[in-house]
Amino acid sequence: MLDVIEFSHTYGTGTKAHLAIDEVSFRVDAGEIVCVVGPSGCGKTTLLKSVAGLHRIDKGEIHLRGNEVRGVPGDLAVVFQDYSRSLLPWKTVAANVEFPLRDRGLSTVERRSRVAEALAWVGLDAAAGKHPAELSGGMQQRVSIARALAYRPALMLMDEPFASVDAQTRADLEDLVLKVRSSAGMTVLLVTHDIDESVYLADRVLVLSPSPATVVETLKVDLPSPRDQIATRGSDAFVHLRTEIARLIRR
Amino acid sequence: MFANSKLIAFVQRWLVFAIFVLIWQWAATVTNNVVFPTPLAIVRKAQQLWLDGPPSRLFLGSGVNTDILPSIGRLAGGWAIASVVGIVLGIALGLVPVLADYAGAVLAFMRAVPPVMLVPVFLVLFHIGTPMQLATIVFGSIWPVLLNSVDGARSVDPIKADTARAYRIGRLRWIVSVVLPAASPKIFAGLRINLAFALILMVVSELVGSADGVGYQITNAEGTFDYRTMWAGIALVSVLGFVLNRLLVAVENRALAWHHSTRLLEG
Amino acid sequence: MRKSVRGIVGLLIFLCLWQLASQLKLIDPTFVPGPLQVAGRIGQLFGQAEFRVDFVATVLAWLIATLAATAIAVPLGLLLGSLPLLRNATSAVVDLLRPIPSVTLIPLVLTAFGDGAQIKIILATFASIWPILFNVIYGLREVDPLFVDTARAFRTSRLRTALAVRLPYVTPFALTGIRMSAAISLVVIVSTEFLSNSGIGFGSFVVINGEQSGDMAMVFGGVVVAGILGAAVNSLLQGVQNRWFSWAGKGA
Repeated sequence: MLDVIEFSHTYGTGTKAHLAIDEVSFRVDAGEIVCVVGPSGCGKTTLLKSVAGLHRIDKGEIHLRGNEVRGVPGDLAVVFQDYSRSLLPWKTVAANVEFPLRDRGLSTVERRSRVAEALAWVGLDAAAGKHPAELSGGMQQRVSIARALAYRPALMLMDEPFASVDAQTRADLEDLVLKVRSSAGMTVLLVTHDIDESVYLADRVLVLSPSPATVVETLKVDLPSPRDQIATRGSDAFVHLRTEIARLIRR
Repeated sequence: MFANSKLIAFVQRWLVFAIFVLIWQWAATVTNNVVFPTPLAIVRKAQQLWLDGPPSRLFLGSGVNTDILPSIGRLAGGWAIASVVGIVLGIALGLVPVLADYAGAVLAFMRAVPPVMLVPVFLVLFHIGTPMQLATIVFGSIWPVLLNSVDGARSVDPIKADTARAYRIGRLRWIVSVVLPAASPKIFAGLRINLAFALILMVVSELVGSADGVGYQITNAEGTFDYRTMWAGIALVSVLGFVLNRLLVAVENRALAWHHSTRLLEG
Repeated sequence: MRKSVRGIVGLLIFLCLWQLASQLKLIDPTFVPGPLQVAGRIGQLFGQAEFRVDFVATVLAWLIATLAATAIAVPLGLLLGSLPLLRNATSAVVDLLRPIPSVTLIPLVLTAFGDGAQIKIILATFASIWPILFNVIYGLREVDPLFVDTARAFRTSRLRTALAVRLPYVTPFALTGIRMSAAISLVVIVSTEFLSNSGIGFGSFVVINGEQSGDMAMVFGGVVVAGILGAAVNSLLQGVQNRWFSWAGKGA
């Protein structure tokens, strides 16, 4: 699905140039959830934005479904951390979810049905007519996820999506991501600073080094499926994995 | 409870206004100067001029047609043109910073020019009449909404920009569905100011370049020492300004309901 | 290319196009003279002692009006801003007085105060009070309650809170208002001179010697001088604001 080959990114030019990402390579297979963890400021967001086509690719290559990424590819969706600034406050929830669908050549009926479907998926069918300001943080992030789902992307990119919500809501939203993958077959690349979250969600975890970021290690997460917030997080395998990752990051 | 406090506020305002008028009435009566008629005399004159019609027409008499309607027409036309051009140009400049840089010095100069000084220029270019007045109104009142539109377009959240790019939203839709609404609070603030300017310029342009309208009437009355009419005209301008501003604020409140509730929640 | 350089380039392009249009007779030069002609006229004007005196008179009147407006509007704004009751009570009167164009009040002020520089200063002050007033009131309302609460948590006296928290916060807003007020008062002063034939001041000079004699180069010269003056002052005040009050961010 996604192939990142020796990708590097430098900020600025000349004397002020700063190498943010140093020849990172990895792949994400269809239907996988891959989590990227690393210390603060290591370049995780830059990497994600580059995959999304939002940053120009200086060195290396990124391939999505076999096609090289030049500019923004047509079949991926991004969920940002700051949901309140990503949603349009003047539109209703339903209008927000529908917004990216309008230029895609769908009929009104099709668009409306996708919107209803996506909202039902995230459990917000009752909130379709409300405005984002009337919703809690967790609900707003659900709208953001619904918007991504309605778009039916091949790959969903998530940039620290649950960093701004409280712990309870975070647990619910994490389970929502798992559900999205298992029921809709979505491929997810998720960036997070929360080690526990990365182990809980991922099939594989990519550990990045501090800036300039390189891939320190790729860990396969062999935890049983379906995952459970209490049982899985309490298991020995889980603890072992998160300790390993914490060690890798702190090095 | 809420409705009560609004009512109290309303009463307070107009009570103070009433007191103001009473003091004015007393001061004018005491000084007894032809140049300063009492509010009562002004209202009577206004009634004579414009409100002598039948009840079915809201008491509006024929005077309204020659005096008030042409002015309002010019005001509305001038303000509308200035607003549309200002918003379109402002958003374009806000979205293309390079253009704004190049235009910066020229625009800074133009907006500092006292519009009255351009009246002779416009008179020469357009001669007496409505086009000259429209030109004066548009040129003088475009700046607040232009500057505010630039500011509004510039202040669109980069996260919204990233989201729109990630979802490959088309350029036109981006401008109409995201930039314009995002900039609308600042644009409305500019519109309120440019309405005030447009009113002033309408009057000023009629002082010199017109044969009808409120401004003409004021200057004509002043020339014939008919101070009651002059004051009636001034009062009319004041009332017009007040009413139009209130109307605009009402429209703004409806259009920006989403913005106010967001701020309420944050506050 | 730096931003300021771009601005100058833009200006030069504009002047070149104007000169071209004038030389190609696309616009009638008797009605709209070209920039070189206008510049020449301006040079001539500043060579005349009478003009220089008038120019200084205008600048002086403008300075006084702006200072007067600031002196009245800032305390008034602070007062009204701190007492919501008072602000609401006066709002009807304010909203009815504000729309009155100061130029229509010329004959009245003339009669009340006689001829002279006072009229235009009074009118300019009246017209330019409003931006400062509203900006100060707005600024007071926008003071982050978090700052005030922090001060209260430290049991700061109300006066100290007013001076050390609210006042610095309001200052950038007040400055923006003063900048707008400077622009408006210059416009009103020049307009008043233009319309009232008072004989003193730069606007008067342009009217008597330019407009009434059909000397469009003079009129344009006057326009350019007024524009440059206003733009220069605005730039200056903006520079001061940016330099000393950049901590305020983009709120003001």
